[in-house]
Amino acid sequence: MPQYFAIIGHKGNPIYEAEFSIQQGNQKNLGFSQELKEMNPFILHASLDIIDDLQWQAVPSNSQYTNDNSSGSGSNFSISSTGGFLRSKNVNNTDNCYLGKVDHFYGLAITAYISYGGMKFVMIHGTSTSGGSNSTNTVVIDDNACRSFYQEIHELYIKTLMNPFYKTGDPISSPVFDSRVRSLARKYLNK
Amino acid sequence: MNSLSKYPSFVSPGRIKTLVLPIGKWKQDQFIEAVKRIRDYSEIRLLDITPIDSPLFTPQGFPNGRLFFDFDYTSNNDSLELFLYDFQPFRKTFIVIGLVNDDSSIEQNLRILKEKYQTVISMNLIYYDSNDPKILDSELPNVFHTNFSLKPNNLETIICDIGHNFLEALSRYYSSYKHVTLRSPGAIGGNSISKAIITRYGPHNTLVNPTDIQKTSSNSSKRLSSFEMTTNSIKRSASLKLANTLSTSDSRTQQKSRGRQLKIIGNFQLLAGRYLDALTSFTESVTLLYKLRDFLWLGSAIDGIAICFISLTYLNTPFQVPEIIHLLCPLQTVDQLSSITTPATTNSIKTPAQTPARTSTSAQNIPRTSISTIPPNLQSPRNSTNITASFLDIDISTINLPHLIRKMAEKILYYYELTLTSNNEYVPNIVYCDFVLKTLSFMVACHNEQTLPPEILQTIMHEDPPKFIMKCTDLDDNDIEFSKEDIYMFATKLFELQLDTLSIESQVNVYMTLATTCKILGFQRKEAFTLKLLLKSLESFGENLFWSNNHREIIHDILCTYGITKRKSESNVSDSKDMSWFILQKGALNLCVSLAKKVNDVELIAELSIKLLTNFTHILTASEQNILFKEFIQPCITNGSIKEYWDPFVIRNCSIQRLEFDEPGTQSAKLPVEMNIKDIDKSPLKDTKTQVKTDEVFNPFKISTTKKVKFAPEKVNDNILLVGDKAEFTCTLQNPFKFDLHITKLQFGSEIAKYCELKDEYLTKSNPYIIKPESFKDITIQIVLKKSTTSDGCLIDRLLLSAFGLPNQELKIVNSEQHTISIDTVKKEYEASTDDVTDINLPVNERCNYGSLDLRIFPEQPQLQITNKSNIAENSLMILDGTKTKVLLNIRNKSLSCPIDYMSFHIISNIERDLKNDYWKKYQTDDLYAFEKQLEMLKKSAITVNNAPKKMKPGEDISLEIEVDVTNAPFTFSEFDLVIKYGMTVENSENIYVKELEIPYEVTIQKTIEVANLDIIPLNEEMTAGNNSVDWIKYVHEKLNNNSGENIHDFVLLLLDFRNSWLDGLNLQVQFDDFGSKKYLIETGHTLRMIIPIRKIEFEKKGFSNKQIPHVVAGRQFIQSGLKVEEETELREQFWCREYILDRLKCRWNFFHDVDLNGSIDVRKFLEKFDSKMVSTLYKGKSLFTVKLFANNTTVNIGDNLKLGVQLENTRTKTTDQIPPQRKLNIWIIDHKTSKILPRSNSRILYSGTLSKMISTNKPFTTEFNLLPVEPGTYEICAAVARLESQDPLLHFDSESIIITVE
Repeated sequence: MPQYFAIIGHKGNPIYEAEFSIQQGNQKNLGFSQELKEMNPFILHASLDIIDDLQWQAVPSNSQYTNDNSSGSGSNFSISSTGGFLRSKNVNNTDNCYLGKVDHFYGLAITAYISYGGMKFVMIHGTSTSGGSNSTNTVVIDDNACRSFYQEIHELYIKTLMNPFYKTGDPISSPVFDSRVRSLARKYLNK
Repeated sequence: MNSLSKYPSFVSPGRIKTLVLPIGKWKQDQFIEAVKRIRDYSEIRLLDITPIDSPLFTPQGFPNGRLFFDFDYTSNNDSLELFLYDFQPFRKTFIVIGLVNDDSSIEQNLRILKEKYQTVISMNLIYYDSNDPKILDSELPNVFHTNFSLKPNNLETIICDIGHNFLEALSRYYSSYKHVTLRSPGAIGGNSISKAIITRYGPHNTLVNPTDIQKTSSNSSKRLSSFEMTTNSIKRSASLKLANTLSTSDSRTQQKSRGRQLKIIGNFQLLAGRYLDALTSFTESVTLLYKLRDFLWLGSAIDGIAICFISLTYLNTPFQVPEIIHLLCPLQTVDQLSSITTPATTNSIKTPAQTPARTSTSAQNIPRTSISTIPPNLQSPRNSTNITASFLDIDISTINLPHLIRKMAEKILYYYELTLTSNNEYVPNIVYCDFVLKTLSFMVACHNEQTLPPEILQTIMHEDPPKFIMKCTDLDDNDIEFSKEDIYMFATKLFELQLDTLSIESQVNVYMTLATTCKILGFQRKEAFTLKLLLKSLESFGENLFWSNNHREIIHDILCTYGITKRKSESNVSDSKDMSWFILQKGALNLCVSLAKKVNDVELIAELSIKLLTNFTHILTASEQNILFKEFIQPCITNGSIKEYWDPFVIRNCSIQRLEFDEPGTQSAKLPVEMNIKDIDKSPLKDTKTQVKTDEVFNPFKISTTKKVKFAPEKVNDNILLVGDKAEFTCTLQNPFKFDLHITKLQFGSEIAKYCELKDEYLTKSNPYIIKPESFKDITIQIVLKKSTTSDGCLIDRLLLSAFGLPNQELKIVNSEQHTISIDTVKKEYEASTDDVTDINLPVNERCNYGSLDLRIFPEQPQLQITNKSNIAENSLMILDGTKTKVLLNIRNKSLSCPIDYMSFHIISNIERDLKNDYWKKYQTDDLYAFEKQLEMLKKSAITVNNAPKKMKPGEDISLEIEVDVTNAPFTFSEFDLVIKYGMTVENSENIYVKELEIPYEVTIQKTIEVANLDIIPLNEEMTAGNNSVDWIKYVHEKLNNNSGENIHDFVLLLLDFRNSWLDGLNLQVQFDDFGSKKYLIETGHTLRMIIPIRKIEFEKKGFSNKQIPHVVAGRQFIQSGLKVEEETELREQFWCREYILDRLKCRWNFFHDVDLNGSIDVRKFLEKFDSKMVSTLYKGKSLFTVKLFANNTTVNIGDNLKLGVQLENTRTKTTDQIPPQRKLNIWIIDHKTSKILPRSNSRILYSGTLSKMISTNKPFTTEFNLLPVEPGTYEICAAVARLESQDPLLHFDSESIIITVE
């Protein structure tokens, strides 16, 4: 199940981009198809609209856009809806940066996380059969793992911010950051 | 973008598709204008239409009704949708209206229309501005005429008549359907029909409104199940009923066909404006079809009912919601709701869905209540077969129509989806899509309304796309029927479909509607994404596209959203540094370019491809750039849509080189200097190259000019060139791209072209100058200098350049890149922002520092040339000291056209040249005078040009006579340069172009007679008068005889030793005042002592000590000499005494063999400075006292007493402080032979007492000394006055002495 992950700055510019795919043994590469590789930034960029909308929503609704039906038998993910991003002051819960699944495009699901500084961590989850648009497989998102992934990325990002030579909004080009993100992805997403 | 695709309306099935065609000679805009006018009458009241026979469609049946025409001038290929005409007859184009603007025949036009549009049921012709009586009088019901140029007042009538024609045709058309078994599209079209394939991503049930789920979160499942239960129960009872009534398949088929018939009647009635009848037909049809589970037609029939609802609401006609609808879509009526809800929430009409999830339990019960409102007696009507006009129908005023429509839409989609399992009764993709789209448009239209206000209805009925954009309000979304999320979620249903199986037109429709929706929702990025998908699918579409100009809007929208349009990295520093999503932008731009190519919009291709190339150079690979260039840019260049070269920084540094000449380093290579006439003589011309800048610190890293290759073209510092010069222009060109850059022209700008131009004949399109990818390259072109510039010169800051054969354009010269925004720019912006100045968009490119080149071109210059090397060989001159000689020099103005207007001659000797600027600092004043005097003499008289010309005509020859006089020249004078400054006047100015011609000469001065030594001695001894053969004795005697007041002590003798250093004997004659010596022959190598009698200098007369030593060069700042007053006085006296001698002493010589060959001696350069003894000898009365010695006898024998009298007299009339009153008088005895002073105690002359006496200087004083000589010899006795205190320093020493001979 490949993923495309990006950190988006305030002006909608990418600060970091990465694609995670796994090599299972001697299997073929389970990454995105070439077509999707080109499309991914566009899909991600488009879903920023939804994230923006969710970010400033007074009523927390993590699942509004996700067409979630908890009664449905095919519920693939659960979201602990404990308050929206804006409610962070009132709700005694530090875990409201994670927005869960925010959007989808054909078979791709998009999850998002907003840092307190307004940086958006967005990820496209592809389907495990090297997700073409014809794929009927649904994306299974392990919410808890996903949340943990985002939180650790957040931590990494804050560490990057503390680098006096790094200016907020500049692309992160550190190879260390990249390798850590990838190892986190291996740890949480592509187990 | 509205003309690209039609924005769908929920009621579009109720609109009559009408095609308007141009016949005759229409211009596009004219025709569109005409159609627009017709569109004003797209809504026609049935009241205005003449009744027809058919009871089904006659307007009389429902006079309130309306006909809605959908006038269009584009139409799809009919055959593609043929299979849908049974199912959705409204898709058919019913009416064709031909707009005729010429006088073509009616019959022919109608015939052509019929041939071309065979399926159309109503043909009409409208003649515009026709004068043909045939047409005007035409009786045909479907031929009309109107006046287009005026406002056509009868247009409404015409449309009404067309409506009438249509209704008649419709009734005929319907009659053909009457007895036909209606088949589903799938059954007609077979496999060619694309079935709607719905891929569910995630949760299964998409039918249920997500808002419902969310808002009733926990109990939604319960509610749904209860809902499903209800419907299921209906189904079950219905099927039971059916099982009873429709036991045979025959009657089932019959019923089905009846239901379908009713549905299609409903559709036709909807078109005919008879909405109430349509509602009845649809309701019946629904009831039947529901029982028969003909879900496809059922869905469509429910759709019809929904349209009837909206249309009737629009007409303000009261109607009842049929019970079956209520049954299928359970609803809560307004009265029930208001009775339940608390007063606090009555401000708006609440629907069950709106009740927040976390409110009280009573609210949660509402949905159930609504369901339970379906009364227990519900079963009874269901048992009867006829349920139309049931008393249970609910009045429309009591329900929330948008909510009802939404419920119905969900139901319809549900039914459509149920058909997907069927083999031929399935819903076609396009039907499903269209329905989603039109529902979407409905949701958008009333997204924040609970009811349908008339203005919203108006937009729905007239298919106007909404103009507003949703704002992100603080309002709770729950108050709105269709929230943003609802609409977006509904829209994404489309992504569950296989859109690529749709026809391209439908795809365009889908994407455009989606994009519009996203725009309205305020999701710009989504909109751009949708548009991008649209472009992608258009790009992959195989055939050629015909597209209106609106694609530009789409592309513009996309580019705006991805931030490409506003990016101006070529001129804005901050833009060029901005980190945006380049991959995204590049991708989008790439797509747009290839689409523009597909549409063949050359201008757009040009614009976008240049943008792509210039703004994203760094992320385009070489192959991408090559493709971009070859496939997009080059064709655009060829067809002229790219008009200028895209890189504004192509021209980098520029310079001009003068080329070397035939004779390197000679005169012709020198440039004249422009000077004012007055200034020329002041400063010597200095070569700018060699001038050392004194204010510059030594820079060890500076490349020394001397290390350069000797004959390499040198850069011109001030860029001054001469007309006729050979010069080269070099500029660096850059090519940042990854393909070859072809420069086809490079030239100076037009304002410079009259002065000079580049010789660029060889630079052509076929032979361009190629700059390799990603490199800088220098191009060097010869300059043709045509005309002289004005004295200000001209500025080259731009060049005319053409790349790839593009038209020439002027590009500025760029010196360097600017990496940060300059303070000036920021300041300017700040000022602009504070001053509210709107036009801050100055065409200033802040990314670079512009450079420029000052060029001055001088006119052709005269040139002076030396024609022969004069009478001396190798310009070397040997000359005898003290003589003069003449040197001849022939010069010629080589230029044949330019006269020399100005000439001046200057001499620079080696002595001058070697002098340092501050040479004078180290000299004492007297030395300085001597030195400068010599310089002055050298300058003034050493070399003179006797016949110096002022002007020379072109080609004129002049012979110059240079006189070299080395009389006063020092022996170090070894060479001199003759500098001729010449030039011609500058036009209209006082200035002159000055050039220099320098002729060096070497001089060797041969010594003739030198003055070896000088001495001055007093004349003490009396001379015998007879010895007059000696010239000086004779002179003294004459003087003494002539003037009785003088005595011999008034004269001193100047002894001069002359030495002949020449190879030949020389005759020497000396003159001093009125004394003239004889001619003396000095043999070569011999020395002769000359004695010159000089009268003593009168102290009182001259007063040398008060005379300052003069300065030759005035104006120097006074420098403290550091001398005491006495020393200063002494110095002055010495100086003036010497000057006195030099002024009067003249020496001349001539060759012994050749009298004519003569010369003079400049004694000054030989004479040493005088010492104090010489001065006191010469300078009478220099001393303070006159001491006179007397002796009774000058010849004494040993043992004889000698009386020595001393008389001392004060010379000064006034006693000054300088003279102390008490002095000591000393007597010195000197051995005359040895000139040694005898010691105080000796055994040669004895004396009594001391040889010194205290004296008073106030008055004359006389004393005596007694001496006793004991040894024979000659003694010289002299007296001296000394200071009292010490022995030695003599205050006065008189040179007069007495010589005593002791025998």
